[in-house]
Amino acid sequence: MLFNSFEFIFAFLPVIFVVYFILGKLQLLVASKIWLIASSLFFYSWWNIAYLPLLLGSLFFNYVVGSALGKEHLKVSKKAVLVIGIIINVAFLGYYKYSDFFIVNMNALTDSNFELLHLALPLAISFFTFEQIIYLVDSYRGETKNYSLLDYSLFVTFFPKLIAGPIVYHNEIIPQFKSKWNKIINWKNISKGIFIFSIGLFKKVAIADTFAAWATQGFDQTTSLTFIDGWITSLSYTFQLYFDFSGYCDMAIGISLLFNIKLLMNFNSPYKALDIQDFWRRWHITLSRFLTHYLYIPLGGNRKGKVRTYINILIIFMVSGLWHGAGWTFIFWGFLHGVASCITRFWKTTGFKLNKVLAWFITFNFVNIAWVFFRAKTFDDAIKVLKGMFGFNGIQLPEILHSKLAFLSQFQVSFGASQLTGVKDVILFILLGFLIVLLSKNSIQLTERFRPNFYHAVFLSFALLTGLISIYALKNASEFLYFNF
Amino acid sequence: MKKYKKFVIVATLTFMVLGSIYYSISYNFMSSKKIDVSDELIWIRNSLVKKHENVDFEQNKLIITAGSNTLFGIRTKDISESLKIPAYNLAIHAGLGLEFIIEDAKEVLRSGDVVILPLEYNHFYAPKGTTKLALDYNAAFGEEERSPFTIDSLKLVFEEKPYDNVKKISKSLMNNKENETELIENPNGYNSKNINNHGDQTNQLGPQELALVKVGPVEIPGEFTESGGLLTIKEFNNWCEQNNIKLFITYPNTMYFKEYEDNHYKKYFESLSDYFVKNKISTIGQPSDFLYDKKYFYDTGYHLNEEGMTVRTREFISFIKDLPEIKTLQLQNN
Repeated sequence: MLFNSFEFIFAFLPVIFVVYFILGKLQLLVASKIWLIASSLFFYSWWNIAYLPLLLGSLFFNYVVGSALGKEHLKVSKKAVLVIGIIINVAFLGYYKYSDFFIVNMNALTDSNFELLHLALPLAISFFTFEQIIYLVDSYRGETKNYSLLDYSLFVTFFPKLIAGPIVYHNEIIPQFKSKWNKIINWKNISKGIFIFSIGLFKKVAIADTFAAWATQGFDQTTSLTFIDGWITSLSYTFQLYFDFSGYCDMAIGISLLFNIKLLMNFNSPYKALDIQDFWRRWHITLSRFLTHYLYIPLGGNRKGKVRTYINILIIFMVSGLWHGAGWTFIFWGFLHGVASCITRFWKTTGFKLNKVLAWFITFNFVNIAWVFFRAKTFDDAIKVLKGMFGFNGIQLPEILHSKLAFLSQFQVSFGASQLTGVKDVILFILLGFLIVLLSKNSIQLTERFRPNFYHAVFLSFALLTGLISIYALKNASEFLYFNF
Repeated sequence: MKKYKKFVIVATLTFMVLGSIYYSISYNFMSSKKIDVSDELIWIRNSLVKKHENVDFEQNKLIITAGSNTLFGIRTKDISESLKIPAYNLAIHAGLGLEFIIEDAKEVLRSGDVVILPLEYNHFYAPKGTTKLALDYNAAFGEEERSPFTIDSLKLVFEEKPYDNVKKISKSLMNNKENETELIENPNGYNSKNINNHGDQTNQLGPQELALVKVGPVEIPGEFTESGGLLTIKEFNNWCEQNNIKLFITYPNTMYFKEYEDNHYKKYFESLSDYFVKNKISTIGQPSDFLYDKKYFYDTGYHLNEEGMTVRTREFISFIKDLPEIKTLQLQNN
């Protein structure tokens, strides 16, 4: 079930909401939690019930290990238990997500022919595995508070953030569910929740899914791209990814608010960033937080000298790349960002400051170019797009400009039809995309400024109406890009 | 807290009002034929008019129709000359959906006719219902008055993305379409002038290599079920029987890929065959009989070029020439 589907918006969510608060009103607090857990498991199973035992298995395993680590005295070494717990989690993730990647590379290196396993990737495995690793580490540090199985299960399975984040910490969620105010309908939260949900829905289905068509054409359905088509393709994906993922997160935050749960913001206008470090403080904030606290700092962070700091940064980004996908293009994408982060860090030590416009231009274009590797299925596809972007396949302008710009032919500029359909529309959408990401307030800022007035009622209605019509028009609810992580 | 509760009520009402305004304006434009008609619809319209005009109703005939695989796949002119029977190609665009294709065929079918449907595979697993393209076509060219409160009317408006809808309405307001009477086709696209007097596509010369590079095997569902499409075929079969018309289902010409040797495809094709046998729907050939090398294709995995069309038609003639119903048509016409 997707957030941007009619069965979720008009059937699943209203029923869950109503029953949850009825149970709360009747002071059946345990029943309300069980109801929410059961609903979340139902939501998870909607895709394929075969995934459910894996989620439950992971949940119970980590609860038992975490509880053991939380005890004052343990017969065996706590550190050993923690290490084994993390290894098993990573192995679980690795088996389902990376087996075939490992086999393909083994076959290539050793000239062997081992068969691929073709394992189906359990839904949300990357997210719930990371959240539970956080729980294990915090248990080891004595920072968990002997959570009951019920509370822990609700933390892991809570459906708004289950499938694709934000990555939340147990101590951010469990206390909220325990609060006495949680079970009381809060019209302010409902208003804000619906408001930000509508914005997210609009971003996802009206904007991201529109860009998706052009990105798919350019990346997957052409053999070569000219200059303009290359930039249209890369920019389409750059905007698709942002509006898709941030739109999803907005919906998750909005839905959680209905249940009086505040999730962390995950995006803060990342395309306004003036350097790569700034970008990663604004993009997928909860992933950056996790990697910083639970990988970068344990590796030594910046406390072990310059060289080690740069190595740690590269490791973090390559792990991030690998987490995003089992493929060398993802790892290379991570590597690019790692190198860029190291360069930025070094640059800042020199004391030189770039003009802000130039800084933004360099950062945005770096991010845009790096996304090409993130999106491309193979290095060949990535190179195809990059060749187009850098003019290796020539510069072709629309035929309609020939009469006015024919003189450019002497500079090897040709005129003809684009390989992409709807070029006028995509250029308009790209301009609108820039206006939104650079000049307008992001959804979190809009929600902070939210007031229960007629203006916001119209804004919400417009976003929701456009979103709902777009869902219907798109027919098949499209999946979030971070869905298979 | 009261003001937030009031906000939710006001927002809900605003949503309903905005929705009603959007629907009213869109429906008014779409149903009054003021909406700008796309190049695709103009081509479909001109082609169908030409095809229907060429059908001779005085004799029993063979009608072959489906989506564009058949438009670009079977040369009924060759069938007519070879088997000495009137044969017509009504095929045009798979996107119009099976229900449209069948209703269009019913307009020309008479008692004693034979109709063959070499349907694209998506028709076999599509759900029931009118497609967006068919709704747009009917809105632009249909004669029937439609109530704004029908499912089809709602689909007509809401199956268009809001941006595309606003674009169309804006274009209509600027173009003053009411004064236009001639439907002018885009010279860069498919053209009804390339349709011969049997309804076959002509002039599709050579493979369009660039367009064919990314073609892959057709998509089929994971499991075989009795879809809306198959139910529609069953209903049409019954209608044909009641009207003394013989229906044959057959399979589309499509590009060969080795994936078709996989169990997944073999199982699905077998299930299709078994379904037609079980429901007493006559068929011609098997899917594997109509898979062709890439060199015979024009610009998509379903469109044959002229050479491919010749090869395909020749093979198709060998499949149908000994059918009793074809022999009856030959006797009637000689």
